[in-house]
Amino acid sequence: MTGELSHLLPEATLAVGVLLVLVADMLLPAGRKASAGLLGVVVCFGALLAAAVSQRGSVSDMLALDALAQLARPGVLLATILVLVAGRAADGRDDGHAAWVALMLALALGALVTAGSTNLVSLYLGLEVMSLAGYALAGWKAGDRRSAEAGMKYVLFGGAASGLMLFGMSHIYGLTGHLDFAGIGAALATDMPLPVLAALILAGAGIAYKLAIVPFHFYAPDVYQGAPALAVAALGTIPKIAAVAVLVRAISLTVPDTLVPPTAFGLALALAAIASLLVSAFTAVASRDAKRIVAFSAIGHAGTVILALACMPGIMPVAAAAFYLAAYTVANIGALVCLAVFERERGSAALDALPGAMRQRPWLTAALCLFLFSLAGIPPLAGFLAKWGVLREALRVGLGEAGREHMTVAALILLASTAVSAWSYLLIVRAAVLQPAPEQPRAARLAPGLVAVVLVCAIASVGLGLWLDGFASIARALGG
Amino acid sequence: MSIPGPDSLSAYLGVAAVLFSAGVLAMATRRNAIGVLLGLELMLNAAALQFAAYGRFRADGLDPQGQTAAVFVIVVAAAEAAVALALLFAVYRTSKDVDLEQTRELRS
Repeated sequence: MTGELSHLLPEATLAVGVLLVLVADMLLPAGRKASAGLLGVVVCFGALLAAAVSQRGSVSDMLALDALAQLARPGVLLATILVLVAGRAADGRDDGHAAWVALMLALALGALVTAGSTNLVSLYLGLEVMSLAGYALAGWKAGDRRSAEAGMKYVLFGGAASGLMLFGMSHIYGLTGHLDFAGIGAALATDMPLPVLAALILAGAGIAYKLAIVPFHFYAPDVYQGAPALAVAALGTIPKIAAVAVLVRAISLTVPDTLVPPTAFGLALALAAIASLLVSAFTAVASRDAKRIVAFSAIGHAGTVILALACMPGIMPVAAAAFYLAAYTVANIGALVCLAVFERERGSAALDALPGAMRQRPWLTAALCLFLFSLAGIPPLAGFLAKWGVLREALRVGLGEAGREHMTVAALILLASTAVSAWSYLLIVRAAVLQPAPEQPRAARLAPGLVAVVLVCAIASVGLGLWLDGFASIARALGG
Repeated sequence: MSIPGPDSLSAYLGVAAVLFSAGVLAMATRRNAIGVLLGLELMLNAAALQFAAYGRFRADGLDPQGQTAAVFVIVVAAAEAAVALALLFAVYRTSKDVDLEQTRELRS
């Protein structure tokens, strides 16, 4: 057992970190309490180090530290560090910052548990730890009506999704007699009766909610609009990394290979992806709030990742999904950090509030445009290469494999929705750059932490776009 | 060890199905956020009951995994209720109401 427990070092570091941050908040003198944020960053780097040296293995039949987990762990932790650093710089308040940091660490802890889970119970626990921290983060702005409403909607819809998921999970357990993915897969290898398929789809509700794909997307616009921008940066990226990792593992362990491609399960994934892409593209254009546009298009980005997963089995679809998630994560965090600054200075991130941003903060506005272009998929940025990878997989499967012609249609819909959602991103760019505004003075310098986060995200967005070998490298990491 | 109550899986599954449907109905129709939360608790308890029942009435004898899962569900549901009530309280403090129709501020 001791050998197995050592695999949990990153998770243990985060769990201890949550407590350390809260204790530090009590011990630090008033006026210095914001240093708890620094402690949070140190804890994350510690967990990152522990993840880097950890061996592959498993902890009973609850958690697996396979290639997927090894890839998801640094992703989750790096995203957490980016948000923490930005939060420390953006949050001017002294008291209460430590609790925010503790919630962020708890979110990362839940994400790591989710990403590594190989059992329905550990999956449920991980998802809930992640969710409970997320609910609190969404409703974080004290006394703000919109933030409170965002938190309330998030928790009520999230609770409904986890209720459906548990109901499905209990039927899976009853019908197959197993809670662990491998056991379920062994029981389903011979035949997949309809009740089990229904239960699997119900159980997928919890994961679909975390990914915000249709039909579990309807909370996303309201929550993203009302929640503080930095909370959105965390909620829109970290749970997605974890949910995709566990979805890939669950599919490859439980759904028999013979059933994946042309039958109900692969089709269900493709349909969810297509619906997400369409809903996202045509609702984003109608929005008048930058955070709402980002929320609607996040539904489409999740749909694109699911589209890549619908091309399974194989390593290359997973590599395409992982690359897409990496490109999306850096661009999304970067864009929301920029919007967080504008939201604080201008009172809201509505499109009406953005004109004049270019004059007041030229560099930050330029960075915002870079992130939006990357999200829109404009070359040579990361978003373009990522979209191309998914498109290539969908076309390879759709044109090459008999019985999966629907993937070609899905690829065409991906192309069309990319064009439409690029238009909605341009709405933000137009409001911030082109629209005339009364003369405004150049704003004061930004905190160094914010500048660093924006720079890192920008360099990553450009760098990933030029990393032509990326798919092959990720595939090697996953296969090796 | 004798357990009071009906000695068949389908009886418990039936109760769970009724509980779950009542929960879904409450979540879908209640306008008061507290009512929605009550519906959520019904759904979670239906799932916990099913885990326990499936674990008890296995073909090859009692399986503790089901009962364990039920305990996990109960504990996490309590934590979830605490967070949800805190958020409802935050809404109530800002708008003096937890009616879901009245508190709508976020829309496009």
